[in-house]
Amino acid sequence: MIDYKKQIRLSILLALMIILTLLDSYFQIFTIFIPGFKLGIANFIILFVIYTSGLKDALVLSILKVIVVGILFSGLFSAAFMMSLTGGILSTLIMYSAFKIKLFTPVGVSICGSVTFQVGQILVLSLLLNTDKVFYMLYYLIPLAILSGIITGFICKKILDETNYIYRKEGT
Amino acid sequence: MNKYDFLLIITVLTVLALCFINQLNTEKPLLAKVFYDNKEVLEIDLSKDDIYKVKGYLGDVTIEVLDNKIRVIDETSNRNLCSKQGFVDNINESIICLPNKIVIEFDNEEKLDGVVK
Repeated sequence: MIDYKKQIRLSILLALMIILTLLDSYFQIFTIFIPGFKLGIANFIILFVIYTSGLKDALVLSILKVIVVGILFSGLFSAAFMMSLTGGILSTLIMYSAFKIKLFTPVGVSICGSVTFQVGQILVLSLLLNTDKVFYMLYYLIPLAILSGIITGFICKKILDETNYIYRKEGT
Repeated sequence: MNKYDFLLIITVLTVLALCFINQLNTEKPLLAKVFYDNKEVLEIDLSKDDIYKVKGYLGDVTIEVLDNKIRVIDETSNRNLCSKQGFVDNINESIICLPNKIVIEFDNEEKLDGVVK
């Protein structure tokens, strides 16, 4: 049987994530100074789904988000699309394992995710361009990823605290 | 945040710092190579100040060499990231223009061979 309640909840979250990504791309201030860097606020929804719903839903959501954003902005199967697809899948998997070992708070899990996203996307970029010089970018991307991971982690923690009651009652 | 979060941040930053120290390179770049779609199209001697034009995917890419440094002055793309990047003179750094499929890299090997001889 299809769980319509869950489906509706996930589609609302997907829509919210797409809007946040759109908002994110308007923060051009960061990209002027630091090429290739985006804040990634949409990440906290993936984190939220990992905490409330599980790995499968989080993976589906992150892949769908990349596809929809790809259709809307950068174009399907472009370089940016490949980069964020790999980064998204990798970071979702790593965030889930970080969540499973139960050592970290949402902040730590979020940092794991954003750092893996950067590593994954630079990995794809180096494969696409056939050069290893792009790894140099990680020296400034990873500290920034830690910073944005802390921000999204705190947002997610706040939301989890606020909505804990509702989601706990529905079960995971 | 608990202590494991802090531990995670410190570990990541330490690994990064160690890699960075390991890779610190004071060597001056002497030669730059321009790649279009993974194929080398131009070799630039950085000791001569000059302006070069390379055909990119969306249009011509203009490259300027000044005082052993290199930059892209003009190119066609929607965000113009590589011309905003400015001068580059660190041997590990590179200029990448994804929409134009252009990569500019430093390469010292051939020049160094000359020195050894």
